[in-house]
Amino acid sequence: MNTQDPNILGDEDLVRKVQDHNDLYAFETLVKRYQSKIYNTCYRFMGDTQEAFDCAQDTFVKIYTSIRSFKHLSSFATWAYRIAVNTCKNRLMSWEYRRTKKTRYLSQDTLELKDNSISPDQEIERSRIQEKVQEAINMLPFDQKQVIILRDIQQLSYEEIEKITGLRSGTVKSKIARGRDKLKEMLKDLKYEM
Amino acid sequence: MKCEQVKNILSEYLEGIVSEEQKKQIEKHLGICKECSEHLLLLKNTVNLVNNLPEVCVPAGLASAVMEKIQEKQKRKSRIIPYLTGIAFAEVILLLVIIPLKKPYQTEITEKIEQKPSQQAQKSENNLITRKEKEITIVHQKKFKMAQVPLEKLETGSLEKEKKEIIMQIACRPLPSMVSEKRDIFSVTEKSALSRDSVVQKESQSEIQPVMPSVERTKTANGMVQQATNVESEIKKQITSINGKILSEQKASDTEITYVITAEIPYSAYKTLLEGLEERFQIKNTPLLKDIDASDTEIKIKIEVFR
Repeated sequence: MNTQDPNILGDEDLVRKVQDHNDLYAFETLVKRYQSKIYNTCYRFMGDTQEAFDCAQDTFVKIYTSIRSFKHLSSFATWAYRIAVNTCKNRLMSWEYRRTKKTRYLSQDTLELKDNSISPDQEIERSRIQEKVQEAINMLPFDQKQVIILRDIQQLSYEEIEKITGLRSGTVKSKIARGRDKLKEMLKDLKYEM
Repeated sequence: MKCEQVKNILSEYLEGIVSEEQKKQIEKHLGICKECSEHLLLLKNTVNLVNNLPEVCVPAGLASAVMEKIQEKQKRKSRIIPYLTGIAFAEVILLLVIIPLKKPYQTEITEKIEQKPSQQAQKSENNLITRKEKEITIVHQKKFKMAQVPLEKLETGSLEKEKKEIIMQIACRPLPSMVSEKRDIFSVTEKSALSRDSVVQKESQSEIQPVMPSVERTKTANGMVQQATNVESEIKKQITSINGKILSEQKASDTEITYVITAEIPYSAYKTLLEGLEERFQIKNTPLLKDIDASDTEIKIKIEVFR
């Protein structure tokens, strides 16, 4: 009997445990390992905490149900991101979402990691700027939004973005450039101060 | 490099993914172009704003919510599978029961008939059905092996059926002098037309004197054989005289029957044949015409010559 702690196992080993033995404990380890990345990605796409929660949950459930089809041709992370992006895309395109879309503001005490080094005024100002930035991202067309989120927020490489989105290198670069240009126009009055 | 070219590549320049040559050209241009320099600053600011968006806290319970949903799916799956298996099993049982009970169709008849309303009236007048379009296919596999019906047979309103064979038994002995009771198979008028009065008178004698019209009274050892051969010849002669057709003839191995002749004769000539044979021979049984379909143009007759 294998008593190895799943927390020390790599992604590939955990995935194989789930594929071969339907090891739910191994899968839960994967969920906990990637929940932050996936949730944040979903949040930046949806701009809403509840929607982000639902999309993240759906993403992991989809990962579980289709894990047997994962051929290990890419990393588990790349595959998980791809599912997350597609889940968010489908949700954004859905009629139900468009009908009930609301603007929800970030709640300081629940969403952000508190920075005790700055004053409350600075905290408020920072929150206001972050809201504006998120609003600007929300305004981008999906194809530019996805590359901006994956590159500028998730800090993924161009190669990973190509694998996740299925876009060619040149296309990724041009979409990033156009997305940044649009954001620049929308955020030109905001000044980055850290 | 022109401003437009520089602006297009500034994003990559910020990333540090341009070539050395391109980098030199951009920096050279930026040194002299204020607009592009400001453009670069704004772009930098934007990228920094986006880069520095904070990592949002994952709501508590996301992992447990995920695992709960997965377990729920598995439970549903474990409930559905036996249900679906049960349905599949029931279907298999039904098929096993239904297929053997299914009656094997031995007769398939497809028929398409189109009749005009006006032609229905004609049918009643002349007993014929005029058909505009008719397609009848009858395929049988019956015990009696019905043949495929040709269309012309249908137009005549009759179906071809196997000809019923009538059997006539003739005694090899010549007709006795006594009157033999004739079976009245014809009408009274027809009976009176027969010239039998002279025969009746001659036959008033109690003793039967064999009179064979075509018998040569030769006193030979095989006189009876000679007599029998002449009976068959006479019968065949009678058949051919009414335009009948001899189908087969053979000596019989029976103790009582000496010879069997099978022939096909016109229906209308049956009476003539019977009269001709009755004049010459003793008919042991007279086949009744009621057994023969009046619409048949020809009848099959089997004549058995008895000792």
